[in-house]
Amino acid sequence: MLNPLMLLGLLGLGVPVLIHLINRRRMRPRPLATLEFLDQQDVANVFAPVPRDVWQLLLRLLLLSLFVLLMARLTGPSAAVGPRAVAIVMDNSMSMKRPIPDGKTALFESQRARILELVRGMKPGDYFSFTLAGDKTFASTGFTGDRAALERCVTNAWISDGGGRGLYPAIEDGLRELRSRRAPNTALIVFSDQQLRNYRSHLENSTLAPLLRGSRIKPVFVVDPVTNGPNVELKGAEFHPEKTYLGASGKVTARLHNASETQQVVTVALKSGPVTLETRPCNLASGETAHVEIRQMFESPNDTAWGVSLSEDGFPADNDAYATMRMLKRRQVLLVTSARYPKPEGLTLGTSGADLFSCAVNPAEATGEARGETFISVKRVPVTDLERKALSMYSVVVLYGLEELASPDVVQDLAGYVRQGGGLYLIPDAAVVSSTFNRELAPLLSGFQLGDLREPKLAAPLDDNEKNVADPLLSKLIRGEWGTINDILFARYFDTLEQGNTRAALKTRDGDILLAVAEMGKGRVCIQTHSWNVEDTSLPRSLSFVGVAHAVLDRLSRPDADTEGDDRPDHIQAGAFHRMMLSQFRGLGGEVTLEGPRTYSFKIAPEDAHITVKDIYVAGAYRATHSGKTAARDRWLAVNPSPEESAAEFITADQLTDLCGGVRATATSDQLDGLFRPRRELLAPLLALVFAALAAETAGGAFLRRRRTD
Amino acid sequence: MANGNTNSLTIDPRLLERLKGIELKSRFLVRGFYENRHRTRDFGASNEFIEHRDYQQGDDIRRIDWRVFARTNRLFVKRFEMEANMRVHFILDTSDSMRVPAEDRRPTKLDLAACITGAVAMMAVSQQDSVGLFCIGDRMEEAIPARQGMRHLAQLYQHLGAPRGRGGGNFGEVAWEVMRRLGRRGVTFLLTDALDPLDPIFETLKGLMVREQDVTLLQVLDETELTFPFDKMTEFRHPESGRRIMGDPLALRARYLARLEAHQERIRAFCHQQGVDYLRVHNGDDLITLLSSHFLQRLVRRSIRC
Repeated sequence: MLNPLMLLGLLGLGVPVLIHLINRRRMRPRPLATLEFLDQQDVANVFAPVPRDVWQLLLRLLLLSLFVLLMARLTGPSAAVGPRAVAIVMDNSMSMKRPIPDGKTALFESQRARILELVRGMKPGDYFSFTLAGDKTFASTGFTGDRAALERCVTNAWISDGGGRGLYPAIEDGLRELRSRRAPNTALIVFSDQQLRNYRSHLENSTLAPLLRGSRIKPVFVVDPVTNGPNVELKGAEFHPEKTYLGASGKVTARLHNASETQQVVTVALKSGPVTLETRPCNLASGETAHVEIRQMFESPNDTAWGVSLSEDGFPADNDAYATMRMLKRRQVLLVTSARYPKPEGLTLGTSGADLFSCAVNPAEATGEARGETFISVKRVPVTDLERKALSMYSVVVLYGLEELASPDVVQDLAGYVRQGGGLYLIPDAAVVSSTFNRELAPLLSGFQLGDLREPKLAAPLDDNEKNVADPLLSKLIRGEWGTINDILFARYFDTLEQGNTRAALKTRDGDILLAVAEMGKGRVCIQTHSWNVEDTSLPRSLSFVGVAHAVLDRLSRPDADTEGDDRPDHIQAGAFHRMMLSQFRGLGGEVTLEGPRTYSFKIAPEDAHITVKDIYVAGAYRATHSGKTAARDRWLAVNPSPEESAAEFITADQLTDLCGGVRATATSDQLDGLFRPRRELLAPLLALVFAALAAETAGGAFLRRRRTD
Repeated sequence: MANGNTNSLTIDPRLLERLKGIELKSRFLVRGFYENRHRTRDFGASNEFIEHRDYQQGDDIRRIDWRVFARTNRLFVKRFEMEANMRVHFILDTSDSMRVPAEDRRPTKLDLAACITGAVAMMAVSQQDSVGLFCIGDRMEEAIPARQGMRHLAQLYQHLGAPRGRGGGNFGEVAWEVMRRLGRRGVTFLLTDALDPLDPIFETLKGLMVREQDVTLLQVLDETELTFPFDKMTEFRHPESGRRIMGDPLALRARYLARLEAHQERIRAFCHQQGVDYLRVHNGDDLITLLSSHFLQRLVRRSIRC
């Protein structure tokens, strides 16, 4: 076997002649005044060709010819196959899980066994490389003669749930490396199910053909038969809604597609871990796509991961999908009332302002009909119990009808609670003594001071001019978006002595402040100059009351530190990049571990609250943990298999031939044994001849030179 | 070492310093116009008494030796030796063979010859002698008559800075013409590479000796011409005839050097036989040492002879 392009090097035989001509043309005559002492006859003798010159020229030409043949890697027949250089590329995309005709073994396993046979058949002088490629190159040994290392690498090869985007680049790399090998027998063997999608974009403009042109590389795309039985693929499963509150229910929607030519009956199962919770049979016509919905109630406060699976079919790899559910935290309001407002018993609904406020916030709870589905609840306690409460559990604390607390320490606790992000809502009633209120609760008022109680002869209407209020908290009320405000009147309220650092959010038409808002540390304080008692105002009886209550509570609520900005569910496809928000690990640094079918670790910077997930190619539900915070809220990442891998569309032999520039390149695993003919490169004899010619030329040249000098 | 090019003449001050104290003498009686220290054949007013002669009418009565008259009662006049200045001529070969560029930034043969001419001319002028210059290419290019004085020397240097001349190959014939214009008695330096036919040159030298000229042949060569150091295939071209020869210098070197040596030997033998001073210099020589020793030896020889 000969590399014909290298024979062009024989043109180099003309190089000595060319150099001579060029040098002759470029030689500048040297002026010499003593030229007469150079005898023309001597010169003629110097240039006269002698047999020695002819032999030297012939030797030089022979040397050049041998060198060209050496570069052309001349090969000759041999008794056994000479040294081999074989690049093995193995596809580990999800489609390689397709079973071979025996119905039990996956194609990946079958082909891996064949590769192991090839590797074990390596002889001294053979150099093999093994590349495992799916969506990217997962492993590559480079060319090595170490059979044990290759066996180890092949044995450790694994199959991903991703696609095969990296297969074609791996084939190109293998060809490039093979071109630099000088073994007489070179081959590139691609073990794959040869899905068309991995080659489609290169069919029009093949980059393999130029690499194969002029080389002796033998491309072999192994095409082994696979079972093409009935298959229903699970294209995905998602929860709706993606996040919910404790006790609420959601539904998971599974998308199924019958890719077989016959009608199929499958069972869709919703699983939590290994436990099957609910199943649903589904009857699908050929080519039909269906959405199957399964309802699930979430009774755990933790985030959870769920699996959806189909019953066994022809291609079991696409029968599983994973989804996560994020649980929202409930909002707790602590309503602290004076003894004047006892909590109603049973189902009785009181008419005091505190009762009306509770009802506006959560009517079902107020009437005793709540079953936990609500996202907000009001806990009502007398002022005497306040100091025993853990304030951090509550989003908002409402002090209704209070002018003083049990002790100054409680006031300080409340102030600290607000500064740490809590919300405080102060609602004095007509029985409150303003001076006592101002004095006792001064640390909570941000400089605001109540004046005397005012009872105008005509109840004061609301100021409907937004320009007169500094805070837009109740702008919807002022604009009448929640209903008319003409019937909202205020018969009794406190004057304002000092506004301090507060901003007015609601005023009477006379300019008296009805509601003021202040920032205090990370939290906020709302101070109302009237109560919700019906004697004081008609607002609780208006349509706008619920809106006002919720607007104020929304503004005051402490943001949930654990879920701020990261309440999205995390689900990706295998191999995808994903920014996973993990606020509970903020400030920890180190590594976040994702535990699932495999374990991965990702670094998290101390100043960040997210990790960048990448290179997860095994589908499943992964739980995020951090060694620095073991009691943190559970977070899950669902990694789903690549949906396109189910397509049973394969490249044809003709297409592969075109891809390789006209070289017939398909074979089955069983045909690999007769891949190489027994040939061996004539390296040693050619080298010996080259050295002999070189030595003869050198000796002859030295001899001639010496004779001439003498 | 002297260095020069076609536009200016540069002489190493150390060379001038070494030559400064060396007297330039002729082995013959000279003929000069101005009074100087060189002996002449004429009678004059120096302190060197030669003879008495009978008084003849018209003789200067101040020359009458009254002491002899008192003893013999006859009138004799005293005759004294006349000392005059010396005319020094330089015949400079400015043909193309003298202009061949030298290697390694060395001076060309013509530069070297001009430098020597300038230095010797300075010697002569500094001892009140006259200097003249003839430049010869394929014909007589310049003829500057011998004169005294620094102004004349400066004019001479201008010409030496850019000596005119081209062609060549007939130095001997043209030098013969020059010789006829020189007259008798003086000092003449021929500066040439002496690579032209030797017979005409030898004839010229003989003619100069006949005219009682103290002749010195200064053969100026390039070092490469003496050693032929080339080792690669080279095409050689004669600067005057344009003839070309290409060959392997390693193969040609031995016979080349043999022929050159024979040529040199012929010149040396002629000069020795005819009493012509001969000095061969090349552009690799230490000119200061070579020239100073040559003129010292010359002075010694002249002094012994006198």
